[in-house]
Amino acid sequence: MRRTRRLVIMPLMFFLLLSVAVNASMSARSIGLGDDFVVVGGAEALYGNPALVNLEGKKFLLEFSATGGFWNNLFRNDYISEGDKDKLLDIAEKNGLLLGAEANPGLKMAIGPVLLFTEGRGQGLLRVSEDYAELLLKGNELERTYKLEGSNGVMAFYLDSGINYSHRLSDKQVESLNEAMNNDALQLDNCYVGISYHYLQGAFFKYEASGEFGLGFDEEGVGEITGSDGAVALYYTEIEEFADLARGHAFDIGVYADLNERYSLGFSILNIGGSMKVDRVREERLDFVYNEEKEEWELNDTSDQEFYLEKENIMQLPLIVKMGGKMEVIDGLDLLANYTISSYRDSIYKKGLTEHRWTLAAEFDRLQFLPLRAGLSYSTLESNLALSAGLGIHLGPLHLDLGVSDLTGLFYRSKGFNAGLNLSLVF
Amino acid sequence: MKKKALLILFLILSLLLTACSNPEGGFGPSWDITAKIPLIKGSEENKITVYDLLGEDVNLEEGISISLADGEDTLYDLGGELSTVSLDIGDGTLELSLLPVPPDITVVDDLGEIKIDTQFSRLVLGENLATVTIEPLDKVDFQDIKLYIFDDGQRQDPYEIPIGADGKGQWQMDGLVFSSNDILIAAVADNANTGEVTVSIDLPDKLLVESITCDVGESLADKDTTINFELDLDLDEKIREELEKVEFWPELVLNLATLEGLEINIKDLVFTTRGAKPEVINTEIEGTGSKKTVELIGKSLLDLLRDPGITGFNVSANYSITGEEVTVNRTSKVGIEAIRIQIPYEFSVKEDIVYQVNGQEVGSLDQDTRELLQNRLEAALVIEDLYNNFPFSVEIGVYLASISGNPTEEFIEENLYTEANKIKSISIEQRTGYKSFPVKLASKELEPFAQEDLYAGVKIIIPRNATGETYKFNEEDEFTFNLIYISLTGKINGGEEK
Repeated sequence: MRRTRRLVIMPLMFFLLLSVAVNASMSARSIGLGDDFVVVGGAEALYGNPALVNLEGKKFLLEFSATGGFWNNLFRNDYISEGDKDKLLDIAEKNGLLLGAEANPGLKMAIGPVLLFTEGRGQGLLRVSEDYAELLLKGNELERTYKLEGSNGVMAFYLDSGINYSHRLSDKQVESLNEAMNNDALQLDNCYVGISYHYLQGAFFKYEASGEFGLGFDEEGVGEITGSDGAVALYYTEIEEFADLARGHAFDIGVYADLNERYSLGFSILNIGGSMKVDRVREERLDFVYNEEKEEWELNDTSDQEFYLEKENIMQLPLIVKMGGKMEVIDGLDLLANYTISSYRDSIYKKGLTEHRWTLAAEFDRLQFLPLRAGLSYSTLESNLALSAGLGIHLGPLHLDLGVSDLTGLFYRSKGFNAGLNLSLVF
Repeated sequence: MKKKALLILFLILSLLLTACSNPEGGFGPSWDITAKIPLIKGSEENKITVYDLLGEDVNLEEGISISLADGEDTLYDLGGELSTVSLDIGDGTLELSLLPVPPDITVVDDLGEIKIDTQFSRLVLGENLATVTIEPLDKVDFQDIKLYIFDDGQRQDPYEIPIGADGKGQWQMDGLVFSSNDILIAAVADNANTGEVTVSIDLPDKLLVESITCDVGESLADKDTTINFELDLDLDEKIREELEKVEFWPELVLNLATLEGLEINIKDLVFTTRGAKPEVINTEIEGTGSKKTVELIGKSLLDLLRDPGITGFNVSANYSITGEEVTVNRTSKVGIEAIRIQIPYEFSVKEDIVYQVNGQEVGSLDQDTRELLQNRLEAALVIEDLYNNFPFSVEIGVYLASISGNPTEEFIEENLYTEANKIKSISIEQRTGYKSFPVKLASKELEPFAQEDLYAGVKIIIPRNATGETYKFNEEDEFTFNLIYISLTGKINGGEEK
């Protein structure tokens, strides 16, 4: 009783710590617009559409970026009343509590149509079972058990180095395409194709949990831990002295076209074959076993033992498919729309996770030195409608871009936060 | 223009800070979370019903009923007293001349006569046997004879009596019905010559009666109708304890068994106490019908019940039993069928009534939980599904103590339920219920939880009623709870602590 009561109390504290861990995502411009659009060009197109990295036809780019963000699918920056908790638990019924985070500090250099980049990236998506999400929200109810099954996740920290090549189709090629379409109402103008290659090396860790626990009473009315045997298991690459670095590759491809001088369309697939492999991972387990003879729970903690799983272990990056369009409303004002589907398919997620994100955005750059951006996006995974904004300060070849999301936090409605800063030298 | 751009940048950064905070000032979300630490589980044993309060014998329509006598010694055996009738037939043998044909009632010389000395309007005989003898034997050339009975001048269907070679036969008189005292009998056999054969019938002096319809008062005129019996005052210890605490208004009640048309009165009912100091108590009987109330003259029944020196009563009385046309069976018993002490369901509590549940092991809280307790969290003692359906308020005392080793239940109770170990006392109003009843605990009240080997218990007190107000119960009245636990509520990310 004494030792095992912590099985219920401690998760409450543990998850609280998790929920305040901070990371971030994407580029400053895309954060301001609400997503990595497939019709937005420049160095930040590396995350949206590899065809548009060299869209603006600049000869040289050197960019430092630092972005990060985190989100979850339940908690807003608000006081959660008891009534709110029931609504949130309805959301948790599908995927439990999801905690997502991403961070990208990095450097990019482009010369002509070729962009070289190297970035540190951190990203993760942790899932907490519906029962333990309820435990976290409401605390424990006596005489019921909370299942750990469905709690799992992956976090990765790696260096992403690579090269992008984006190519503008020649006028002749575009003219051939128009002739092939044979539709006077649809006239293609600028067309781009692009590809990125990523070489990944770093570390990842995965976790999964099983079993169920609760506080209740035995037949004689004595308080006791109830439930069934289970465990929390961690698998991670040992990166001390870079002995067991995980390594892998990924490809992105994309296409883009201007249509009737006023519209643009784009399509991209990111993280094709994206994964990192390592020959062995270290395993740490905390097993909870009920000893029938002693009639008490026993904890078996292997964190102080060096135990390795000597077999190839793979962490798969989410496969991302994007499509979208842009309309020039007036000179200097573009309206953008984007749809992204992300499939989190790592084997640790027993039930894969899929995110659908729809985004609408506007970019006003009549003042070329001060482009302004705003976006509205909805994510099924986050169960959240987010409002974003950003601006750039472009002083000659020196560009500073900022972006923030989610500004619904001003109305205490935000489930996450993203911010980014890009400083680039472009000419 | 560049200054404006910087101004916008400044505004955006300010907004960022605002966008991340919650209304209570913290960063991100804020909510209350509660950890529940189990203490006591409610059970059937922990439930107090009206029957626990008043005993299993309680009849809420009438109140508590304590049976003193069940009629075995108190009833008057009326059927036994009237179970025989005497016959007047001289030497006990009735002699008749055997006739060849059934006679006419007008030919009295051919008939034998039986006189019954008891007045009745209907008599049904019980198990009686008469012997029939035929003489002379040489004239007996028949197998049976018939006996014709004339009751109140009316000839009844004949009784056929088989006659053996020795000239004798048996007359089973069971179920024979008479409606008058004067009975005439004739004996008939085919081929008999009048005057040649004599039939002798030997009858018992007294005939057993199955039932008789008569004037009971007249029949009992010379009978003894006094009764004497003993009553044991063997009160359940629990009831005796309750009698000390609760102000009841008990009644001594008699239930009379009677017959249709019968009137029974009890005269000179006297109770003499048994014990160290016998005392004679005269009574008055009130009430109509079969239920009578006995008033003790100059004595309080409640005082007698509370007196542990009184072990019972010797009771004497005289029955007055009348009724002009009453049918009495052989087994009829009348008179006092039951004596009981009846306590109406209204009463007041003059001393606290205390119930305590068995102390339950809580064990020792782990270090993490103890730290939570010390963390200035909002703590409460919570009782779930708490219902006090009694017509009075109930006080609940929650006790917590450190008791090491393998203590017995008695040891736990002795050491747990002390004033020093009481962590909270709660009063629950009458006829109220709560799905969840939280009581805030101050930091000091949480200190006992830091001890090892904890036991928890609950004492339920029905407090003394100083105003003398009387309580009235319903059958479903009970006091129940499901769970008792400690809840620790903390605000996650809520800015300054409360």
